Amino acid sequence: MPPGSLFSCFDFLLRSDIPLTELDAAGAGDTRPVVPVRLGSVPESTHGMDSPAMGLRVCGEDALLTVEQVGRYLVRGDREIVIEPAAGSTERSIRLFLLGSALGILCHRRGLMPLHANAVIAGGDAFAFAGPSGAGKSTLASHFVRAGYPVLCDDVCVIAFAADGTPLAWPGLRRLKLWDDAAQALGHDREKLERVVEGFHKYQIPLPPARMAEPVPLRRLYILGKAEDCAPGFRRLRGQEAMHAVIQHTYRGAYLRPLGLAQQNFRHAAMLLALAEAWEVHRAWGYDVFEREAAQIERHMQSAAARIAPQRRAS
Amino acid sequence: MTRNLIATDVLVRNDADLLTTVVDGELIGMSVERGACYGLNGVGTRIWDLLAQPHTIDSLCRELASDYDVEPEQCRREVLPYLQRLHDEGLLGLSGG
Repeated sequence: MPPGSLFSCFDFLLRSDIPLTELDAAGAGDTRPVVPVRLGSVPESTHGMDSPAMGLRVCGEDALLTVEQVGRYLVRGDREIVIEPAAGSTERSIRLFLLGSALGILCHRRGLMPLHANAVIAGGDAFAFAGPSGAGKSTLASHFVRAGYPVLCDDVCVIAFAADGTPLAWPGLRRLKLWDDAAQALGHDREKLERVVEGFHKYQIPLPPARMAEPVPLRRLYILGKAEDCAPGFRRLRGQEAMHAVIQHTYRGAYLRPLGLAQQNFRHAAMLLALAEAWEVHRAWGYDVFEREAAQIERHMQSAAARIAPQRRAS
Repeated sequence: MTRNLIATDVLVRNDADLLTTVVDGELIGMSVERGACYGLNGVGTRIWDLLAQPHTIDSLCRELASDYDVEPEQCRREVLPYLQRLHDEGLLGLSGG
């Protein structure tokens, strides 16, 4: 692929020197704003930068992310990413952190709200699923793929807000990240899959291209947990609990304070909850009961999808 | 730094580091520093309004006693742990050292 190709990335485009196989190529005549991603020289630190927090140093509009043995990523304002790869790093690992932490910083800066969640489409609305690492988010998404639901995004669900406040979930990276056992349990041949990072038993399952480069109204955010301490079931979160859940599952939330964007995110969380619902899901665990539990979540989601969305009732 | 509050402490809302919003009819505060959300319901909202101005626990309870049918002593007993939590969450500061 020639350098400088355009890729569809939420409500903007990335023009990248590096081929970004996880994103759809942008169509001709796409008018979304372009953010260049280029390889270049990135200083180890800039005079006056804060001390690093989770590998991030911020000085004014420069946000410098350092990933040992991978490279340095400089996010300049909301308009450019410059990458200096570390000696011996692979393109795959450079892409992993570009499309992870660096893109997270860029999204926050562009006034978007990235959630650490994946999402599927049902009844024309988006349903997002968040939870701690290993809560089975991607495995659940893989179940939805086989059940015929379009997957909107994996791992990171980026929300933009319409002029009327409607939270809109954008199509994200076109892949699922699955652990070895999950990939096998769901019938994927791991010999044919690409590993996320060399040496780790986590694999990328490609997804079909998004049907449209258009966002979908977010209807519900489910927080996945295990049913160890309480009975399996669904519980609606409201008020403080709901706010806490949304803020806690903001993607790269630890960067908000150094970026000076904690207030924006707090406001976004309240806007999200004005028109979308937060639910906690407690479920039994293990691949033997996975299908049963996934089917319950699917029914719960469908019961909402069958009703008219509140934001449409109002119009 | 948090410490145990005493009756003569002068408390005031930590507005500089504080965000508030209303979700599901509940006033919610969050300290930017700590990131945890805190719900302020009913009396909590009234306490919150009063603490826009510095108050001691005694003067706060005098105000609350006139709003709600409660004895000052009972008010102190119930309000102190609540204020302590708000203080621990970084939502309240001590005024005048």
